Amino acid sequence: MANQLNDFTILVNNQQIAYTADSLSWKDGFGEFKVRNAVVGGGQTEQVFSKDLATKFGMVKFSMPSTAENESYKRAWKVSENDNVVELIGPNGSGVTKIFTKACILEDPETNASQDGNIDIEFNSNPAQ
Amino acid sequence: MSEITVELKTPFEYAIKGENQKAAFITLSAPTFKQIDKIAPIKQAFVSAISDLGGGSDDAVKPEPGEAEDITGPQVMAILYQSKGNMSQVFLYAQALFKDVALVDGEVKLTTPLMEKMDIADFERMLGEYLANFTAPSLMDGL
Repeated sequence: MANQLNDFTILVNNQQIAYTADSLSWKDGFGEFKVRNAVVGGGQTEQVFSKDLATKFGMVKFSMPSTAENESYKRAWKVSENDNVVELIGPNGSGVTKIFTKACILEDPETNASQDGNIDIEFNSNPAQ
Repeated sequence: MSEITVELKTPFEYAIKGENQKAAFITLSAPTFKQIDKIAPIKQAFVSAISDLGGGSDDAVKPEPGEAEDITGPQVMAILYQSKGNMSQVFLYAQALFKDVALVDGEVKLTTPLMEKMDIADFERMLGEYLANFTAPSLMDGL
């Protein structure tokens, strides 16, 4: 029986973060690949493969409840520019750990002040280690 | 002496300035009154441990003059472990204390997730050296 990976621990700059359930997602940062065809004649083609290195960056996205502590984290991460490190640790026994170095928040993160409001965070970083 | 450093036998990784690197040592600063709620129960456990070892008699574990300053971290931990006290509770107090007074490589706060990455022997050495340097001498003089 396989278990769904939905109980990750998030560490940002060595601090454990309490985040909103089911809000975590990430991209490892393999980058996008492209293929096109070159004509070799006689109706034949040859595949040309290339890697789009410009898209080779990691991404970690999650939401966290709009608390004073999380608001303060958000500010600190934004101010740190790309000097953040995000670590995702999978559930016990999963063996999944991902480290995203040089992580920065590109956008101006929005805080929702409603009763069940969240702060949406998206880090862009080096590819996952 | 307001701070000491404890070398790590088993380095662990921590985040600093956007990169992950291996920790080499922990800097520990002396407790202030702000940490009284964490250091007092640890001191109490240490005094109880000495009392346990002495079997309750007054002169059983009385240090010679000058001996108190020479007590080492491993000796402190041995005394604590030989006592009847609850060591897991002592470690919980120590964890709370080190969040305030410990810096990884002298720069980054030693947070709970980082302590959880530490080798147990390194954590024990850290606690032993802390007590040996900052609390044991004053306590032993008074016994």
